[in-house]
Amino acid sequence: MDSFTCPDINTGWKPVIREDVQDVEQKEPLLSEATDTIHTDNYGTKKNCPNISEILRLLDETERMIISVKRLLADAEGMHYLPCSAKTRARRKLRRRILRSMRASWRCPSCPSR
Amino acid sequence: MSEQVSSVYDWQHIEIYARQIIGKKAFREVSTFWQEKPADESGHREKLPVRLYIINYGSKPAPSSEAGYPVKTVKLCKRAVFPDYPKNTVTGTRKSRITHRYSLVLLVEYENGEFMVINLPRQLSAPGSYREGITLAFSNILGSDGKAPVPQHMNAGDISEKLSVIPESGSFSAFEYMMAFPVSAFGSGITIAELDNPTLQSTIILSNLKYDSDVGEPVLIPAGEESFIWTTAVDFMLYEDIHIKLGVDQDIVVQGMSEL
Repeated sequence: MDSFTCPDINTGWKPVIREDVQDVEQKEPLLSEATDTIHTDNYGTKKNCPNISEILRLLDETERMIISVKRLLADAEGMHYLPCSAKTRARRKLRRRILRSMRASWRCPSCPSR
Repeated sequence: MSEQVSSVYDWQHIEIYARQIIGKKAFREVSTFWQEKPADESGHREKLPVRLYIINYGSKPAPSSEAGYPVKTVKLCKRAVFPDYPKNTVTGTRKSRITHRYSLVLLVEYENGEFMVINLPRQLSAPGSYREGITLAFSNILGSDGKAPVPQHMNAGDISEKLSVIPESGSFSAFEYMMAFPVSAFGSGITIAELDNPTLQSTIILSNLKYDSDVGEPVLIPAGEESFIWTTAVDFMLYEDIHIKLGVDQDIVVQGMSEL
């Protein structure tokens, strides 16, 4: 190995560049899948919340429900232009009924008085 | 004349500005110019020297090219670091990434006693992409189309490295070496609050630059359009020490007397 006489390179003190976006390839897990990880606040202190997994599960359920309703609305808009079969209409009607009953029966576990 | 002693009642609040080093890391003899050896069956990758095919003195692209005079020695003349480099980035995944851009100037001595200065990557081409008046060496770290680089990767433990070539208007302007490692490697238990500190700064020192050059056999390389050119295979590798420090600004208040 040959040594090469050249002056050291010293950048001096410079502000650190921050890249807040996570790796694009890394898929974001569902909230309920992240319960095994240690949750910390901005100061690195561990959070202590016994109901966190239940809350996250409900949030996931709500998220799925919202997606389903969005699809339903999109389908309903498209019906004026693309008539579907009676079987599909019946399936959608059933889905709407299930969603209505789910919404009516949902209670927040943290609020027992409701 | 006796020296006047100040009473503690005369002391003042003096605010001193300082930079607190919250973490530092030294990487010794890091190879910053290498070529990746394809992973074997166990998935183990290895760093190899970059194989340069330096065009023989007097050889020109032709269907049956003249051999010319092969390379005798290759010496590093200069390693030019680009302005504002190297730089440090802290990523969202709590990693520190050092990015370093440079070009190399090599002094080549041929068997006939002639010398030539080669500027890399500006005068580097992919095999089969000879550029008249520009190309003086070939390498496989450039893609076969001659326009896109082939990034070289290396992962060892928590440290990942990448070497690429930066394209610039039909040519290549610089080599870009990147090394990413977890912030925990700084070894002092840096907290999220410290990473989020708006005064967080870093300094990078590159030192102890060394190189290895190994001149091999003459090789006939495709130059493009059914023409070939005689070159000499030269294995070239760079090593250097990389020191990095992270620091935050601190205002320290002390009680005392200023001499001024």
